[in-house]
Amino acid sequence: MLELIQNIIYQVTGKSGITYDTDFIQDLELNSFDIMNIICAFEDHFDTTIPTREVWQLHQVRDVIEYMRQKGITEP
Amino acid sequence: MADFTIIYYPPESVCPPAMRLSRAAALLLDREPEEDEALYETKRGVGGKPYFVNMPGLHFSLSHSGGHWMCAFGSEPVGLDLQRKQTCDRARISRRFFHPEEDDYLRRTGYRDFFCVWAAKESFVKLTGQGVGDEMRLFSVAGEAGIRPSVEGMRLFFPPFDEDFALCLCAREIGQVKILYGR
Repeated sequence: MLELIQNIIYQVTGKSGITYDTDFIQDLELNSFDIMNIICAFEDHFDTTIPTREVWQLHQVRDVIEYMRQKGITEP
Repeated sequence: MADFTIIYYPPESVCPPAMRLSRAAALLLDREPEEDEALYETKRGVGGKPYFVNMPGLHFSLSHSGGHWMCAFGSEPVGLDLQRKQTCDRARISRRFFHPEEDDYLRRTGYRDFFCVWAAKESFVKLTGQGVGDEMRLFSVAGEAGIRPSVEGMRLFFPPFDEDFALCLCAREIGQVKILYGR
């Protein structure tokens, strides 16, 4: 799952070197547009809809992985 | 009419990002940045909108994109958005986050004003404190004739900057807007 997230973020932002502890805002310096762009990429890849109010609670990559696990979002 | 000053730090600026807000405010106030650092303490209010604890009359809104950093200051509440015109699926993002009126306008015009629409919307939600998200679909900054001069009673202004970026300032009234380099 980490590798998948790394690939999506790289495709959208060009940023690499992402780990479980990577913070989207502090480490990657992503702005709101980047985050919404990534949401679209995740929604398209996993064929799901992600409410944006839930996204702002996900600060690190590990938060995203846990969120996906809780929501039952898996590879299509 | 409220005037606004935008302090701008380009990517090559040696000022660390964490210090730019206080440095920018000091520049605006004509003070030395190390003088009375507590003056620049911030907290987040309604909707996570930041404010100066000890200077509630000095409103600000900051934005960054592509390594460029800006902050608008004024005596009235303000929202600012700077967005680099980067490669992305404009149609997808428009369908997902924009009002149907905006999506229709952009589709008809080849998404030429996509980033201006985004910057206008984000400057508005930063002014109101509601933040970026699904609720952005509930209001429209564009109609058949293009981007409107205001949204829900708040003015939209696009200061001239760099053609590779969209820059929008949103406030109840907008007088003069000037852009200064930070130090």
